Amino acid sequence: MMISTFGFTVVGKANNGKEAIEKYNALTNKPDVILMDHRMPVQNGIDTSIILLKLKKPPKIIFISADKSVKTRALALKGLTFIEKPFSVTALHDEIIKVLGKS
Amino acid sequence: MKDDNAQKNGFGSILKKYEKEKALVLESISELIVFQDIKQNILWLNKTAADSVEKTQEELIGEKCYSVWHNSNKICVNCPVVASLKIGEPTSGEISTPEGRTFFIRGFPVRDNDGKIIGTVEVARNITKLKQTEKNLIESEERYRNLFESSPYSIGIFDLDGTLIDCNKATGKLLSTHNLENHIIGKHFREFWAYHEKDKPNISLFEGILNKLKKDRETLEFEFPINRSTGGVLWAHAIASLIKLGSEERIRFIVQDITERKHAEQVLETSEIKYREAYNRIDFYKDIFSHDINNIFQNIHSSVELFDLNTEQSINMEKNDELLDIIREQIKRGTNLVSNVRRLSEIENKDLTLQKCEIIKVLKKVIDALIKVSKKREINVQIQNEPKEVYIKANELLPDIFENLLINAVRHNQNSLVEILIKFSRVVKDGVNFIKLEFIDNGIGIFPEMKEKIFQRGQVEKKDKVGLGLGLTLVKKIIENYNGQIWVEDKVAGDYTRGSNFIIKFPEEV
Repeated sequence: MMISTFGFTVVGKANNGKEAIEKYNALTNKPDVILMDHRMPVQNGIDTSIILLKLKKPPKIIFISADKSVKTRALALKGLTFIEKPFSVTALHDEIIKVLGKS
Repeated sequence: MKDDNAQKNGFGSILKKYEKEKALVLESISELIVFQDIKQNILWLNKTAADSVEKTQEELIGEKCYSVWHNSNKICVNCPVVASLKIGEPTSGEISTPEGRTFFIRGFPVRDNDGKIIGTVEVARNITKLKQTEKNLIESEERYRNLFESSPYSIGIFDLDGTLIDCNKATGKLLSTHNLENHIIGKHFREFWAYHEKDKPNISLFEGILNKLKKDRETLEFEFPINRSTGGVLWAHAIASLIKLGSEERIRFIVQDITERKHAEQVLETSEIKYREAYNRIDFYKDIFSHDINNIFQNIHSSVELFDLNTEQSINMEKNDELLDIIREQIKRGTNLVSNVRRLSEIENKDLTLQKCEIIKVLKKVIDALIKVSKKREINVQIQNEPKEVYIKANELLPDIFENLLINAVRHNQNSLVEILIKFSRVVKDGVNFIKLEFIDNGIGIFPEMKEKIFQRGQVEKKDKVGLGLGLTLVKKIIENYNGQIWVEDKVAGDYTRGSNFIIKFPEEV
């Protein structure tokens, strides 16, 4: 709801990292940005981001987590941005706009 | 006459020569030789005999034997020389003098041509040193035996083949037997060692010990389990050494009972493991709780922000009700999370008493509550093969099982109509009657990789691979406390997307 309130369209949701990769690969209309959680069953956010960022045309990823240790690991990957929980919806909105503006 | 004299002189000189030779022979003997008449008067003695009382031979001629060596005016009791006179045959025996010397004495009766006893030859050997050595040896043996027997530690002497040839009383005490001869002595080392068959070494244990002792020539210390003759096993600390007993090489084991220490160590180890597990669990729950509660707050925070934004700008007002629902749902999740953490802590920190409980009533109460609090969702719960009454051994945590399963079935369901079918059946396994409940839903299903892991949150799972909630961990722990089982299958085998089937088995109470 948060995303759609700002006028963005959600093209897909995944319950875990493995499903995220499968869904991303299956989508014809690829998303402009992926909001990535870290703690997920089957495959975590870091491992999922590593795979996605290795793609020929890697997606833009905004990594969201409350774990400080994860922030360092996530930012070390290069090619993604990070939002620390708790965050405000406007901060998320601004980050999405910022990331999309870079493309 | 002249010839006679000459002849006499000739015999005389020959006789003298023989006398001289005889005296020379007798004088060169290191034993005491005394010739005495039947009244114990000394007629002749060798120099060794005279020297033994620091007198000359001449001084002692005519003296009584018992007066010279025993400073007594009476015949010695048990004198072998006197005995030989009485019985007319050679006799021997030991005699000790008042100043502490001991002689081994042999008495030989001397007869005249008619066979009449006219005296005795006494041959004596000073065996004082020998006797002292013997005495020292006996005392040493006694001291050793005393130390051996009074030792609080078990001491066992094995031959190099591994057979026990001697042991002290402490060994009997250690092995709970008084009958050392019949129960312990003669046994092989392997009969004492209480190893499990699976740990049976390739090389004989004794051979291993022996090889090491021979190689290093040092004492060897080790701990090992021992079979008690009355049954049971005790733990021992052993010091093994190679020793010489006479000309034979032996192995001496000094063994101390360390069963209590070993048990204390095991208890300590177990409690340390338990403590570490508890610490890790608390740490894990703390981490999960803070992560999950943080997510809940984030969702509430974002919903409130959007609500304010919509209200301020008077846009998306129709979505505000939805936002309030999200907030309510998040509060419920938070409450549920707190309750589950508390329940988990209760289960892990105390022994819960179980009693006979009827489960149908409990289940129906939980279903009613679920429908009441989920007014915004359309929920259809059906019970198949519903028995009138079913009893199991349970406690006040029983509703938590049904509550968590049903809440999950609703929460992880994206259909407009949530369908839950609860099937009852009975199964018998190993002679035990079980009541089987299946909670079949039309939810989003569970990934094959996750089917076992969903019950293990809070155990060894990596923190970053877990989802929200501790509900199923709690459910599994409660069911295990009831000696039951829980697992999950696909509603339609092989297609998890069609929904899940949570299956529970409880031992039924009749």
